[in-house]
Amino acid sequence: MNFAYSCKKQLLSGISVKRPIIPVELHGNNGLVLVVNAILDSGSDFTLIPKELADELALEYDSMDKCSAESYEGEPFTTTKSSLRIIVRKGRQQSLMFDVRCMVNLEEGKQHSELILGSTFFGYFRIHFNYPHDRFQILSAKGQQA
Amino acid sequence: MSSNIDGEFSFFLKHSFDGYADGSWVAIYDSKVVSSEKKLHDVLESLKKQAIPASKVLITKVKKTASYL
Repeated sequence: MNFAYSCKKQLLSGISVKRPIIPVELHGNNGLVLVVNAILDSGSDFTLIPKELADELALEYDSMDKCSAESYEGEPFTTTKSSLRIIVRKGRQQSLMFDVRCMVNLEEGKQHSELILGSTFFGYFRIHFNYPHDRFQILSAKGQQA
Repeated sequence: MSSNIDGEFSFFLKHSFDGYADGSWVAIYDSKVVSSEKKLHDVLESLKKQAIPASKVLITKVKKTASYL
């Protein structure tokens, strides 16, 4: 598997930035399938899913089994453990399906309200960044074809 | 995920989403925004009303602030 993507370019405070965002297919425990944009972040220890997305997908988690987390800015927030079935595919090319351990962000504010693919996701891939050309590639390392 | 999602993703890459509220959820289908709401649940309800299958839609979150993840 070798998927090539373009970076999402965006102006922030008048400065053009690039974000490594990919669409991923999420399979809920209730049969719901959603295709959601997710940002790649090798600096995040876990894959992080916002609570409202986890709830729509009926992911299993125990909201009383809380884990403390902190952003790199030092802002604390609360998470709990879950798992998530993800399929990455592009057009009619091969796809990759895997179950990834994730954390549900129990706080429903704006902080970390995106789907963040962290190190538990990166373990399945080799990822090549080519930011001078606004591109990045995801190459499979291990996993299971869907 | 059908190949149409690639088209929706291309639309996402090209579109600025400046006109949508920071933090809102947006649904893209047939290369246009078909729903945008503060709550994801409301977006999914809107898709049902429009008879658009949720699995054919690309869902994204509008983010207008810098991230330091």
